[in-house]
Amino acid sequence: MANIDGEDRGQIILVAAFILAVSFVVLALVVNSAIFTENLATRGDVAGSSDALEYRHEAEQSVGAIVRSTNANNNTDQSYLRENATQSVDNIKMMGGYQQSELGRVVNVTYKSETMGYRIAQDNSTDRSYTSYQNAPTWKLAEDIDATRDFRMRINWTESDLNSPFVVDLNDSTESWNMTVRESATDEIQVEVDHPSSPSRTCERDVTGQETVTIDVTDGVVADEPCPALTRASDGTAMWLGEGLSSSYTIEFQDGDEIAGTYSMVLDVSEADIDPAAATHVEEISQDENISDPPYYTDALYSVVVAYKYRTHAVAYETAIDVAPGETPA
Amino acid sequence: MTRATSVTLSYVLMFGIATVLVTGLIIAGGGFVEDQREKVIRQEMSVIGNHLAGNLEQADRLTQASDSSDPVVYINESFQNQVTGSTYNIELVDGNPPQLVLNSTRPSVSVRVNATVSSDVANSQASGGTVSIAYDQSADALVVRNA
Repeated sequence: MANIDGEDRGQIILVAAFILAVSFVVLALVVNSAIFTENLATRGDVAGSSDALEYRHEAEQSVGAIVRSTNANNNTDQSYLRENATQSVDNIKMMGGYQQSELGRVVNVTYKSETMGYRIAQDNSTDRSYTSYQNAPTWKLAEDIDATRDFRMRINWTESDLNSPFVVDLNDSTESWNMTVRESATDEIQVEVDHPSSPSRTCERDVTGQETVTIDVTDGVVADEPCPALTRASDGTAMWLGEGLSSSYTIEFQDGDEIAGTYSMVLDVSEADIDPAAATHVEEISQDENISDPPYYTDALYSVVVAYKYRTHAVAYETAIDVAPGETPA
Repeated sequence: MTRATSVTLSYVLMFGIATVLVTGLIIAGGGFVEDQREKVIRQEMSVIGNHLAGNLEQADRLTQASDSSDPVVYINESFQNQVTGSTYNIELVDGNPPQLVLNSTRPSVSVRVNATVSSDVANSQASGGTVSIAYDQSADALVVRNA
């Protein structure tokens, strides 16, 4: 009990002061936490988490360039294609891995497998019409096609007479997807796409004075400008080449005598399905043979699968990348 | 000096008034500190939750960009083991939208952060510290766990 008549009163105040002092110390800690929270809130993403995707894209682009150049320099033997691609990917692995290690990451790109296909092209003469080897205007390039990529046409505009149209027809047993190329009354190039289940769409480009006009069918570009008819249906949904068909379709050129120039495409197809009527519509180019003027086909890499590994102290990403440059998005 | 009050009464009065005042002060002070603490815990957990939601969405992008069915994906981030002196745990709740729920133990505070992801997520939890958002190959879903 406190002594009531001395100077040593005031224990309650003393105790209270002590308790309050402790709670202020706690308050200081709380304020400290609050400041730390503000600091935490201003920190960015985990270092390297977005670079994982960025470098994945870079690897995909590099391997895509390998696939294209391997096909371009091919000597038609599948084992050489495979060997060239494997060696080039190994180079990327070496150089890219070294570069990335300087940034504190481990990146590994290794060759896993490939899908062999065929390239059908007519690219030796710029003024030949799109007729078959035997000059048939309407002819099937191949059937039972799983996928098509890098389908490009370079039309010799001065040699072509597109007042009556040229048609690329993709069809499976039930439906067909058409691309019609014609010259409009005002001398514009007109590309019309007919889709099995949505209204047709057209894009027109002024090509006055141009000698050649390019149509990149799988990229959706006509005369160096995007052509929405090749990429989107009228309701805005994606609609690429052959959209809506099963993965076993036929490509046919109709009225190829109206149009002249070069074209090239890479197909995921078996050799037996090229030139299905065996009517010598397309000629096979074998090793060391000179490329001919009429359409020919040759071995090509359709796609390459590489294993991609990316690691930093905080992020790991390991996946396969399926590289098929110029393929329409799935 | 000798008025009509006893020494005892005066003592009791003084003691009582002092006690009431001091108690009031302590309760108010303690309550204020506790309030602030709860607020800061809530704030801190929501910041941590948002960081983790960001990692979850980034892991989702990595998973979605993968061409193989069993990619290896994880993103680790270190936080403190305690928020303002309280331990906490993190729960990933599969729902629409998926949520990260952070609970502190004492005082008990709960924070929910929504995430927008295209991949599946699986119900999972981790305690505070180094937290990993990972793709669980067996569950084919994104999970939260301790690294």
